[in-house]
Formats: sequence, C-alpha cells, structure tokens
Amino acid sequence: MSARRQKSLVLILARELASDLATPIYIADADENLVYFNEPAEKIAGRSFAETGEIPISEWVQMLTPVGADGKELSRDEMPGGIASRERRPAHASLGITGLDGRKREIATTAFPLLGPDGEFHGIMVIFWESG
Amino acid sequence: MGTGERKQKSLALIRAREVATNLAIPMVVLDSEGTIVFFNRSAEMLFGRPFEEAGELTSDEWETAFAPEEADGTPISMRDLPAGVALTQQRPHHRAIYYADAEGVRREVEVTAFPLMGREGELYGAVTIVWGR
Repeated sequence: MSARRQKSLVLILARELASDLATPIYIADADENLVYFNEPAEKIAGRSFAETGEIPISEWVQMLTPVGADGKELSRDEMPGGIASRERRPAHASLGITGLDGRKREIATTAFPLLGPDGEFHGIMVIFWESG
Repeated sequence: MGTGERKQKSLALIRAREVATNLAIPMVVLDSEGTIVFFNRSAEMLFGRPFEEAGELTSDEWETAFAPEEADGTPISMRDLPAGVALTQQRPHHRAIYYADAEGVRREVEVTAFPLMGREGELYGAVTIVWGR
C-alpha cells in the first residue's frame, strides 16, 4: 500500500511539474503506459492527451513513426524512453518523427527513469524538443 | 514583478525541487539568474557535499567550483552549458562535458537541461539532469 502511494506521489509530482511548463514532456508509468503529456507536447505529437488517453507507450510511439539519422524506423527499445525504462538510466538521442497531424519533425529527446530514493522504479519522464 | 508572478515563480521552483528530492538521479534546480537553488542527494557527487552544507551557489560560484571543460580541456563558459542555454535561449539543450570531481578525478558526463518556462513565456529557472557515460 505504501509502495503504491509512493509510486503515485512520484508520478503526481512529475505531472505537476510538467503541466505548467512550455517544454514538451511526456510521462509513462512503470507498466509502460502513457499516463500524461503536456500541452506543448500535443503540438509535436499532433493530438491532445484528452484524445489519446492512457495507452501503452509502445502504441503511442508506433503512431509517431520514429526514425533514426539513417532514416530507418526505430524500435521502442532503441529510443531513449525504451532505454530509460529497460536499463533504468537516462538516455538522449536525435530522431525524426511524423506527428499525428502528418507533419515530419526532427526532434531531440532525453528520457530519464523516475527512480525513487529507495531505488523503486515508478516510470519515465521524457523531454523532447524540435531540433530541425 | 507582481505578487501573482512571484507566487508562480516560487511554485515552479518548488515543484522542480519536489521532483528532484524524490528521485535517485542527479538533478540540479537553478533560478532564472543561474543560481543553484537546490541539488538532490544523487547530485552530491558533482559538488562533493550535500546541498544542506553547500547552500545556494551563484553562477560564478558553481562555474568556478565545477570548472566544466571540453574533451580537449578548453573551459566551457556558463552560456554554453546546457543550463546556460536553457536560461539564455529558453530551450532545452544536451551535451557531454568533462569536469573534475571533489577528489580531482576527471569525469565525463552527459547533461540535459530544460527551462522552467511557463506557457506565457515567463522564465522561472531551469532543471539540469546529469549522468555518467
């Protein structure tokens, strides 16, 4: 029960921080479900969080068709968010996406694990910005 | 600065500090002047002591103490650091840097900083995340 409460607290705090910022941010929980993205992220993703709702992060990422510098499609595991989830460490990369509005964008993205002081994994927070 | 704006400014920094306090990855919170107003326990390795001892550090103080460098030893100025870019250009930035830790050991780290900027464009500060390569 206390672990669940702590998990909620970290995600709630991360969401509170993201909600008022102009930097695009999305948050996924420990089960790899997209639990929030802020308004600036909507502009890059091409769809609002209200429309998308809580969905598996792999589904959301697939919708954005991420590609590497060589133009090849990236798997979730190759992306910073996948690395942060799987390896529990921050990661950074530049990649291309196609927003749900059909627009191609070059973005830089940094993902870091939401690891509590006790080492418990609560999810990931991902910052991304247009770089091209 | 009006009362409402001051309150919002405090709120953004307070929220960033709350997140940093509850995370086990090195995180540093700066105000809009570049003063470090908080770093978490995981970031103690950067400063060689806990925030409770170090206290707030102005940009001049932490730039001198931290002495960030390029791979070839060229000093990196504050404005070229991710935190400097986040504060002066008000956009996130990422790069690798070198620095000497408290024991004088040269370390390479990756750093991402993003501005704490409200939707109206008001700048409250920046958050820096640091990790070893």
